Amino acid sequence: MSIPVPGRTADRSVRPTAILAGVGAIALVLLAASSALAASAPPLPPARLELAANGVGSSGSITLQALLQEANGRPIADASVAFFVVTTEFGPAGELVPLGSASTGSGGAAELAFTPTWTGREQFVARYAGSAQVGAAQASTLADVGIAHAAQQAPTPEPLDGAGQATVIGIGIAVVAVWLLLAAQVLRVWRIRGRP
Amino acid sequence: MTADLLRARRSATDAQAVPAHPLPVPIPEVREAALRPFGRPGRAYWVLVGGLAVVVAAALVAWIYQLREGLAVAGYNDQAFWAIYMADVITFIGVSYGGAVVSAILRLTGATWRGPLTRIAEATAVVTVLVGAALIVPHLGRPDRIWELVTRPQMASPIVWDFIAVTTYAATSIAFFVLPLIPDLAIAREQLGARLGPRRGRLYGALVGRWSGTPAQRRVLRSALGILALLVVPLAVSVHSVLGWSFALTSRPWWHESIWPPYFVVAALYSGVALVILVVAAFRRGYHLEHHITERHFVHLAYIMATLGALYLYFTFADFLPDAYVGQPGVETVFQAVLVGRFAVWFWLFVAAAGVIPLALVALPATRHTLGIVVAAGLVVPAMWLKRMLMVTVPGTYERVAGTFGTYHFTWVSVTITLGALAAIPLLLLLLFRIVPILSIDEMEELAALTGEADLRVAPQPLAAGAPTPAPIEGHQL
Amino acid sequence: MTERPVPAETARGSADGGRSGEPDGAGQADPSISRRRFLTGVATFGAAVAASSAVAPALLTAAAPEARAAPQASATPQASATGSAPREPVTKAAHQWCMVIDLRRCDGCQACTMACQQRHELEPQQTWIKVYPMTGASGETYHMPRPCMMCQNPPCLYVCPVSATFRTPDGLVLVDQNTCIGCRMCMAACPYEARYFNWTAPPAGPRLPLPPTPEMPVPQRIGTVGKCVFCADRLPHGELPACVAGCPMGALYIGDLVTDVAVNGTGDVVQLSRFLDTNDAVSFKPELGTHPRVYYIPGHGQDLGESTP
Repeated sequence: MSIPVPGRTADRSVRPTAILAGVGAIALVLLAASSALAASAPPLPPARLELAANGVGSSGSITLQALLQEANGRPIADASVAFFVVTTEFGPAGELVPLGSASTGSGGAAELAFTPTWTGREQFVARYAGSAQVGAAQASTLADVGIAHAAQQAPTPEPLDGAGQATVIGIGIAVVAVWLLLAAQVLRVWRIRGRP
Repeated sequence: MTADLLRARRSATDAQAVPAHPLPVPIPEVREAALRPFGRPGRAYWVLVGGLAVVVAAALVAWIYQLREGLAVAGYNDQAFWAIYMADVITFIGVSYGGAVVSAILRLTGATWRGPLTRIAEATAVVTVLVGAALIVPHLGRPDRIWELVTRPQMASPIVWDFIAVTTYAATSIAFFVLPLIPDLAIAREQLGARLGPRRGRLYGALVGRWSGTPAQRRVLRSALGILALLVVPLAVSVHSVLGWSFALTSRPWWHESIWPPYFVVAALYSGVALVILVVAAFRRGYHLEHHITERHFVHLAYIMATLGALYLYFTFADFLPDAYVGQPGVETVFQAVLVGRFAVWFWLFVAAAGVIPLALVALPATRHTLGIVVAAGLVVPAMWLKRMLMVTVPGTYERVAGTFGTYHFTWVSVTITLGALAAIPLLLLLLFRIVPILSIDEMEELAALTGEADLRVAPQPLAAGAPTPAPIEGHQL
Repeated sequence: MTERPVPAETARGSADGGRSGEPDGAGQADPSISRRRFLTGVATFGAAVAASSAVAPALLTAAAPEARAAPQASATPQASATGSAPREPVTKAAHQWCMVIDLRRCDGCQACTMACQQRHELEPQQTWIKVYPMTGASGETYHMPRPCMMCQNPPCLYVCPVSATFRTPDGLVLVDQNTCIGCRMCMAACPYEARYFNWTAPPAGPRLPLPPTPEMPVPQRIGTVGKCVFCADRLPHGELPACVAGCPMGALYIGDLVTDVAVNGTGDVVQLSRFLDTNDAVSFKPELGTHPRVYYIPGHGQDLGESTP
């Protein structure tokens, strides 16, 4: 199953702050557009971004490999590529969980190691924000994750583990003994009392 | 009478078999005094019983109202979630310990002066532990589910252990009260004959069985009571320790103190002995038992009470000092409120009423008489309730995130229920001593034989049937 | 508030002979994740959320084909990429819910409190999530929302005499109001004052056609204890708790320690462990050993333009 990659999850609620932010963003866009018009610069050519997930199913660790190139195939070095995984945990629309970013090398390749936290078909996304020379780019890939590890660490035993249970058992035995002793005394007197 | 004489004669022959415990010699005055409450009660008795019953009934009405409306009508809120009922439970179960100490410890240590006190003390122990346990019911939000403590107990909870400890202690103190009744009821049946009445007759028959006081029977009874006395003391310690741990096992400031369980035990002993003094004094006066319960008994009890009071004051100091000295934020705020802040008046009132004044009354020879001792005990019991109220409510109302104090408000519901529980104690005792002898006849006669006082007491005039009894009190007639 | 939050399961055995493992179900057989978690979630909460299951069929059809068994051979814990401590291999579908509260963003508007009270039909004084005005060490003021901490070692759970308080496999500490006897021992034990008692009958009002459950205890029951439940009925369906959804500042995040994801109500999604790590998150009263599942990112509203006086 492939989920259409959301650009950014839609706000769940429209609130005054969000509206304000929206108004501000529109103003900024208009400002940027007007300045771009003034410079009458041509639109930037988009970069080419490829993404592959390696090591899936063997070790429990996945290496996400991105290759960033200009449209003409020349690798882009020292650029930051952000990696994401899609989660549907908080809504079926899917959301991008940022996994971190890596810088491309001289060959235009960036790598990020990731320990998957759930199994099944995962969708990974890589993004490049663009620069003065090239435009933004995005790529995604699917992978069947076979081995996953919870992000939590294994439990560490506490020093007094089990002591409480031993205490309860010990006191419980004492309580039973007290009741038996009590019953025995009452029965003793009861029996001797009835003896003619 | 013939049976008594026979028994007395048998005691002479069995003396070698049980040298330490000669068989009792009948003491007519003891028998008459012990059965005095069985007579037709006077007007004062009925006024007293009726008044107390009205208070208890009012408490029941208040409780039903509280059941319908919720605990809010008892003055509770989220900032004061434990308050008056918890203090009541601790106080009432606590005073029950007084009966245990007087009866069991004095039996174990062989204090011969205990004779006339044990029955009243044991009855007080039984009645107060039952009333105290019943007070847990209004404390709960859902008393209709109290059976879940049996069906699905969570053994890590101090509440479950409270329940186990109180049940065990109550059962043991009831056994400790009932078993010594067997010889006494046999004597009473014999003394009263037809005047016993059909209902008492049936009850006595069921309890007494074929008890005739043979040496074998006495040996078994004495040994069983010795074991029960041994049991009662640690059980009472366990009850008050677990009550203390209900607080100490939380992380709340001033509750989370390792001294609290023994502190509760000493508090229970202290207030319990004080209550025994009050109950003994009241019944001594009401039923004119001055001949058997003398000032000597009160002075002995007062010494025990004063020792425990001094110990309690020491524990109070030891409770405060370490945390006050270190001054951790939460504890410091609570101690500030108790010692010099908004609760200081009540705390220092407790120090005066349960510390300085009672100790002085007992210490000074001029006030070391029955009246002075009764006044001291009368100060100790309410002051110890006040102390419990402070111990429960002050840390309970302390909000640990914001560092502020909430407020508990007394309401007519909570006050009525508390007063009803208080009234239930004399009411139940008054009714109980219509059924069982107020003095432990057999034990007194046995102790008298042991100490040689029997010869003095079995004096010239044996109580023949129809002989004039001592002046009836408030219209009491045998 | 100085301890670094280590999302480590520390299973403390309760002194309980009878209910072995119940409080620490999460610690023993830990979480795994597959897309089957939706199936499990739906099955578990199916009865309670029958009405809201309009979403469920879609989820079921979407998730079922992909559901695959986690490999059994992966029993060897491996060092994670980000930490040296071993992690539990995923063996079954589960979550471990947690919350992150970004104090840099909280402006103390109490929208969370109101959203919670509205959803759970609570009296005004029953602030299951309460916003405390706080003063820091250097006199700076800030606001601190306090939901239930969903402790890994919940003191309230250990003192409950009838197991009315229990811990779900998802790490949520819930109260069964059909069992609670109202002794209020849990209120005494909770170091965060997060528990509230129903001193009176809950206010009358329109009622859901469903009986109250521990996950959705509405209406509250007189004479029993209630508290924040992280909106446990919503979480399995990918819905946010009322407070998180209702926070206009995005200061509240709901997260899953297993899948390492947290989201807030304004659409921010973060990788949980990295978010906690890079923002120096702390726990509340860590010295008590309760291991809270609520993490605070310290601050005093800087993101709102406030600064240290």
